[in-house]
Amino acid sequence: MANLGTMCLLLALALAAYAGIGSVAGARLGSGDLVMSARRSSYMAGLALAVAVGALVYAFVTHDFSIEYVRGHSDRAQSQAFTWVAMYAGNEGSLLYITAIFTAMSVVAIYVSPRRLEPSRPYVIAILMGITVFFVTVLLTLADPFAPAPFDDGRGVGVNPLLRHPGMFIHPPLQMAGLVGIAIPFAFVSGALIAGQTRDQWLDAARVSGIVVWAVLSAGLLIGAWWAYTILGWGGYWSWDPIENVAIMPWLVLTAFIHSVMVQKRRGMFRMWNVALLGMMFVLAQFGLFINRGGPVVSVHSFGASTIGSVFLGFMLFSLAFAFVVFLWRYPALKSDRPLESFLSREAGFLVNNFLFLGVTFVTFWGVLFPLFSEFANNETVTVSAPWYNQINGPILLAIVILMGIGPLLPWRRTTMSSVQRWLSIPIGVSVAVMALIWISGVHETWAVIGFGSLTLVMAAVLEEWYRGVLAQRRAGHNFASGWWRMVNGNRPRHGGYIVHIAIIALGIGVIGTNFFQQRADVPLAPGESFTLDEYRVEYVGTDNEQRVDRVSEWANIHVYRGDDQIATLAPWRAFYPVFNMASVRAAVHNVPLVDIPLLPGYLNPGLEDLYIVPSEFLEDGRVVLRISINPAAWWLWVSGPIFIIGTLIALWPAPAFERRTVPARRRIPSAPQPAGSAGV
Amino acid sequence: MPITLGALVAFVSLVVIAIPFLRRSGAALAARQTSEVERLTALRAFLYDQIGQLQDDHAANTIAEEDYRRQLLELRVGAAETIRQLDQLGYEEEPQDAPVSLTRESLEDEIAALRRAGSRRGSGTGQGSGSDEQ
Repeated sequence: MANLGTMCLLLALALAAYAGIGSVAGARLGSGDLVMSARRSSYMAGLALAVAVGALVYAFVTHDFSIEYVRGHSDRAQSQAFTWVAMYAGNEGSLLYITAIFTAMSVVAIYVSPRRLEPSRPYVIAILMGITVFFVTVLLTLADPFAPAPFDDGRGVGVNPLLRHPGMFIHPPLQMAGLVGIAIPFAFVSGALIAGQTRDQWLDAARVSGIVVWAVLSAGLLIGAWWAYTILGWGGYWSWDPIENVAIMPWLVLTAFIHSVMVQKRRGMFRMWNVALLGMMFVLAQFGLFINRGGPVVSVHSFGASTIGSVFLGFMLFSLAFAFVVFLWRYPALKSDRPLESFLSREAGFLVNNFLFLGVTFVTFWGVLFPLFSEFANNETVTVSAPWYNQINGPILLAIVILMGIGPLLPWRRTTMSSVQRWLSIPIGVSVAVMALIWISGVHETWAVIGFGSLTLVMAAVLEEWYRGVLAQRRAGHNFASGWWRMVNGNRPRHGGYIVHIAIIALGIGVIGTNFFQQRADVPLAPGESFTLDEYRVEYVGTDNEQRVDRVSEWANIHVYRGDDQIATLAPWRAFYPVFNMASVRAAVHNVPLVDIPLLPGYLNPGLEDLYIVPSEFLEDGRVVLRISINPAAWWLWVSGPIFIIGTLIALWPAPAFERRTVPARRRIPSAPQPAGSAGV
Repeated sequence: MPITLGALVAFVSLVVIAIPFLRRSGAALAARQTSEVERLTALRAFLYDQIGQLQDDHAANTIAEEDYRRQLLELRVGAAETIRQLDQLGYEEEPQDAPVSLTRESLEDEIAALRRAGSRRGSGTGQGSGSDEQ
């Protein structure tokens, strides 16, 4: 299998190089056949890489420990299901995965790219395949997943214990795919600019591919948060760790782009700004790869210092120079069709939204780099931790949420202050009323109350917008349900976006609940003892343990009572892996429902709070140290994921049927066509 | 076996990338014409989509009247031009259940009326005439 894998990597290198060079040469020489051949070569590069991935997976499944990567990341004891996880658990395998998934996404993007991008497609292919060539070259020279093992002891080391979690089947693949996929919208715009398509020809391709990548990255981040919540054992889900930061920075810029591209689509403005945003997010994605692959910042997620760090740094600097040169070259042609007419307009709202997103990005970027500067300048190691980020980014994120409530109600171009007052009066009124109610009910955490009020403003704004849209449909004779559906169908990008805003509301509820109202205790308990936190009594019944080839596992059996009623039986566990000299825990999480809906599984009931228990340590005298937390509204964090997906799918769904239907030509196309004339539009 | 599989992938790749050079020129020409029709029908669908969204915005009162009229005219001119190009390629079919307002005849009638109105306004205010938009 090692031979097949290496062969396929070499083949992929040759095919990707031919695709890149051939497509540009074909475009320059006016040879359509060469361009077509090069495009097909990119498809075959994707196939070759898929076979290489298949070869590595096969080697894992058959325990082929003659391959060093397989020996170092699997053993005979591990479940076959984790073969897939093991495939990308280390530096070499994850790089192969990144290369394969990036090329596969590129192939799909090239294949479905709109016909109006025909002149720029060769350059798009060249950029995408250039990146593939870089990755495959690194694989063949510095991080070969098929390198032979120096010895074969027939056992293997096994996969990292922290990766033995269901979330690992989805989180790393999505996160890595999202990060490398950012190159696709960048390639669309850069290819178009190189080909001289400097107006809006690239807009839809960049927007759609940007939203797809954004959704993939969002899902990856959210599932990563869930993984951290259940396995890292500190009861949180986001720690502003450097690797989390380098993943969220491109996401923030991409989110800004998804908003500002609407202004370009509707008003022909922000063209230059959007090109700059795409360049910025591409460079930030390369920065993430650099930090993750042997960069100088230490993280629980990174692959540690390695020689390829400097190679990725070089590629990042090259990406920066490339994006900058293309931007400067076409700068004069990128000017907006019209100026910003008023600050009381939707486009101005989008601009402020963009500045805020970039503000969070800059703060986060500074937080990642500051320890390096500090060490370089003062020879002093400084750690920038979560409270610093929360203190600075928190208010900016709050401002973004408030703007989410105001922006959608502003009309395009300009409006008057009286119109703004009229449109905003109901959402602001509802928001203030909710804040007052929360305060009166005894919650006096000022920032939390403002946060809940802001989320209410967003919800009220979406509902008001929908109400006005449905009223317009009612005037056309539709009832509320069909009117709502027709309204959503008529402008899916906008209304899909509003559903994503609702997902943000759910996420916001979870973030506020867990950050401001969490209760926590670390208590040692002997069998039969119990501890009461708030209204829950946690009784430690005893311990079960199990010895396996690769680990020793211990379960803490726990009964949970509220009043006299036992509401749950939980069994959080802790396992020690001697080969890795590492312990891994798995929290037990009980969702206490806000409303108990009969016939619905417990985890689907809208959650009031999570009772979260982790066994930090099993003591020799039979006691266990439990970390017990009450995490209010944590359920809402995870429910935001499906809402995100629904909203994104609606935003991306193709236009209504009558416009997309393929209609057979009344006449056959003649063999000698008349001149088609200029496109004109 | 693995070497054979690798060789097979290489052989298939070679054949696939060589095909464009081996195709008859007539087939390539027909493929390019079909591609042009697909491009234009996709563009027409895109413009219809934009018109629909603009009308929704107008109905919901989230766009200024002047902006609405100008953008609608641009989109309709684009749609008419696309339809004209499809005609030249011998492709006359309308989408089967397109609204009456988006058929070729109604588009062209409405564009002509909008242009006449625009010319009158333009000559009155000293702005460019409708012919600039062609």
